[in-house]
Amino acid sequence: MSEERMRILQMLAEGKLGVEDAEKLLQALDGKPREIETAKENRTLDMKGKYLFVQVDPKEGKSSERVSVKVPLALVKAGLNITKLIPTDAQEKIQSSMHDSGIPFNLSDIDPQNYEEIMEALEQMSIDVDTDESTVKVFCR
Amino acid sequence: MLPMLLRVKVRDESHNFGFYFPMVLIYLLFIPVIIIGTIVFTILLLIPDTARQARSYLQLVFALPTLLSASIGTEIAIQSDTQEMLIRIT
Repeated sequence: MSEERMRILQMLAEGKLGVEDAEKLLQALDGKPREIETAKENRTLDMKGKYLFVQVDPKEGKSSERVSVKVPLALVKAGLNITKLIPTDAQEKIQSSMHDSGIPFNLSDIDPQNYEEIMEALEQMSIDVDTDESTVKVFCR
Repeated sequence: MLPMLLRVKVRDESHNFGFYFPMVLIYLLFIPVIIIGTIVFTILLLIPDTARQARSYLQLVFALPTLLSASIGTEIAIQSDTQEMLIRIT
């Protein structure tokens, strides 16, 4: 039983709350997880049509290639989800080789709570890199 | 659902062609690998020393189709003044 539910029942027992009020509060508590779940489902649906774009456009007069890569955000999320399934011994090897390559990134730092934050940050992300040769844009749409 | 078609389009000054490649053919090529892999995995699961390690990799193998199905919609396009190449997974 959750702490909130216990507190409501305790207040009802102490007479601080009426039966109707307690019932309303309990119903509101029951509705909470459903609301969160619905919000999560909506987010998944929102993500379905979203893509991560990487575009490299040459500057005027430059003859370099124009590159456009479009990756579904669902693929990014699936990739993130797969990181937690990598066995620990393999994770350690990946980590050490990443460290050797100068990427101090800890795979175990990505926990399910961070996924939503990462996805949200990705959706709002926009990176523009301007060089003499070309312009690189990374964004979500 | 797994990706079913791979669209490839190539164009240069003298050629212009594009085709849809059925991914089923690639999956068919993987059938022997899957069969051999299943046998090897079963043996590893039966050996007590390797069973725990093999079980941890099993989850990863089962998650691979999810990664494949999430790749639907991926598109790579490279263009220059004279050449153009497009790869799209559908």
